[in-house]
Amino acid sequence: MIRFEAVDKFFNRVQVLRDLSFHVRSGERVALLGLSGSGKTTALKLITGLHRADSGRIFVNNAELTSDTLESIRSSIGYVIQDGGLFPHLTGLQNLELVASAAGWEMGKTRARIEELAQVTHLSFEVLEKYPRQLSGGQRQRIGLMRALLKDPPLLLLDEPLGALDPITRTELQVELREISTRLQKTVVLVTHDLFEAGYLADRILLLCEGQILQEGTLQDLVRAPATPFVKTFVESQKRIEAP
Amino acid sequence: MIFSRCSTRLSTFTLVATLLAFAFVASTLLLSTRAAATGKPVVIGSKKFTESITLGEILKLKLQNDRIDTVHKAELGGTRILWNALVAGNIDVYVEYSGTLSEEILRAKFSSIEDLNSLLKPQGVTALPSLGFNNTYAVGLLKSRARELSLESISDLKTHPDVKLGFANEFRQRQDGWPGLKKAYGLPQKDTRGLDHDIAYRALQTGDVDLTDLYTTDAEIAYYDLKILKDDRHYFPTYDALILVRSAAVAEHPDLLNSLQPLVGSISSDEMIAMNRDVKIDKQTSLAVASRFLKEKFNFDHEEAAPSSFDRILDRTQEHLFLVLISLTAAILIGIPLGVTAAKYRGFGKVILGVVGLIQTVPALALLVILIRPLNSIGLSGIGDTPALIALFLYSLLPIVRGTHTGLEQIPLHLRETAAVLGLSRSMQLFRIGIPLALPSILSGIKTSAVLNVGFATLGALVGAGGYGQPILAGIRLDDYGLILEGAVPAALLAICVQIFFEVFDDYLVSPGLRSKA
Repeated sequence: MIRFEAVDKFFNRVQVLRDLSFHVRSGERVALLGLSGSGKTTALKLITGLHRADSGRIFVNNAELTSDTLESIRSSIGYVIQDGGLFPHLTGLQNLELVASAAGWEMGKTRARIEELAQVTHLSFEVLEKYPRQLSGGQRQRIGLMRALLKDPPLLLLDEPLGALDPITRTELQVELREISTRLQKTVVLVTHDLFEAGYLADRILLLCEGQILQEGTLQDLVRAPATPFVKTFVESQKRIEAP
Repeated sequence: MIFSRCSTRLSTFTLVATLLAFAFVASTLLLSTRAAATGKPVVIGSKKFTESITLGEILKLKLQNDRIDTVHKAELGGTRILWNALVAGNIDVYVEYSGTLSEEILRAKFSSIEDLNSLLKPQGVTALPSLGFNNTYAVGLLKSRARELSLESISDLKTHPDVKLGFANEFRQRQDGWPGLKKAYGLPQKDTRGLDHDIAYRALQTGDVDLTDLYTTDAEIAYYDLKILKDDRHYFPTYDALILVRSAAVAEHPDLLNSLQPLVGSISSDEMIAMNRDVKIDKQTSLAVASRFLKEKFNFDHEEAAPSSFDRILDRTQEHLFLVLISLTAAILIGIPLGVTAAKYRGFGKVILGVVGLIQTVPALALLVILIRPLNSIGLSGIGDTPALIALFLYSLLPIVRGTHTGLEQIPLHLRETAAVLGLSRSMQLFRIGIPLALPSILSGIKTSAVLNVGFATLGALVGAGGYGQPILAGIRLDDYGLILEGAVPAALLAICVQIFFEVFDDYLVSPGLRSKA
């Protein structure tokens, strides 16, 4: 589904991705895990075409990402960012309708799809009629997820989706996200700095540091056999924080 | 379950619709103002002082009496503006003074009207012989102050280097004004203050200024009890009042010269002083004074009645609204796309903001004068509505361009990125996301522009575009606070109305999602 081949990326001469290669199979859920500045968000934005690689190649859905394929690749992506990324001047419903009308959907089709998704995310229409600033963080994020799923894209890109939430809502949404992604059989790439969220939501974790993959594997792999002292420190620190 | 009525599309649509309504109202006003213009009337111009305006009214009434279609564009400004407008064909007739022609316009001496006409011929202008009076320059001061300083003649100023000088800006700079006078008499005074001629009289009374320039037909000389210093070296040339006519206008209106000819030699110095007094001191209108003069001299059978102040204010309001609506609509229609462009292309954006900002630094009067030549070269009038509209349009751009630019720049990066990844087309990104999110900033730019515009539009009176500036200018000229308020109060009220209008507009257009309180 996604393949990075020796990708380099610089921002103002600072290298943020170094010779990065990885592969995400169709239907697989992968987490890009790392500290801030590790390059995980940059890697995600390369998939969306918001940034361009300075060297190396990126394939999405068996097509190389170029300016020609960008539009069709984007149509296969659902994109969710921290706090939902809703447009503040539109109600939740209008946020959804905007994406549908950009895709040229008719009202009937839009309506049916929104009803369907509202059930998936447990949102009432009363909530959807509100503006983002009138909603709770969890509601915003659920609508953000609905918006990403609206066109039923095979690929879901989640950039720190639960970063701005309180612990209870966060746990609630983690459960829902896992259920939804399993049920809808999406290919998921999740960016997070939270080891256990990565372990809970993803089948496989890529631990990034300074633009390179330090270790790749399941949560158990990382905890039991950290590949480098950094991985060990990373795991240990999160354990302490998360310990009851 | 209610599906929303797509309020983003609505707000952009409403914005466009409101602008179109604006333009419609403005053009309706334009048509109603211009409906009277049938054929091509003779356009009379006058300078920004009472005598010139009264003479303009006399010419107008005389021509109208002879059934020649005529309009009088009063108070256009100074010599430069009038002369350029005449040569360019924006006006057809105005009264000039022989001294101004020789010293300032032609910079050549002439001894007879034939001499003068041979000098004027290459410019396509014909002069008629003197109207009968000489309104030369003089310098003068309060008689009491003259006694204190024992001043009799201009030569006496040499021994009083501390005398405070306040001159009309034109006199202060003209070759035949202060610079020449200073040289001819070897005067020691260095600092001069530039004042409006009409304000100078008040400055004499308050003692802010000791000495000012005067015209010898000024009614104020007697009224303020002023002493004219003797021109003992005969520095000031003769300023005979002459009618100048654009030769091409004579071809278009064959009766023009025949109609004007009887005015030659018909006004004595005393008669002119009396007419100036009637207007400036007794607060009669120039029209009424001109009309009475013609009745007495030429047995005209009726006197013109001055319009009521209500009609006047109504006319001024219409002219003012016309200027504001047209220029503001144009500034909105051009300014928003410029702001969008500036936000999109950073380098070019700096150029746009720089140029638009630079325009703002050009003084209004300078801008109006600068516009005359380029307008003439493309066949448009350098006086009247056109230059006023262009100047107002240019001044209105900055807040709108900057508001649009700032509003778009302030949209958080993650929202712009999200819009792109969600598959919104470029035009959707602009019209459904960019503009609605930038709208509060755009509207505040428009609001600032509109309020400034209402104030700036009073300057339209300087180039004969009318508006509330007209009574303000006349009020300053005639030292009539009532007249000044007749312009200033409606202008202030209009600015407040505009402010309120846009506040309501704001609430209606800006998404409730962007307001700070629910």
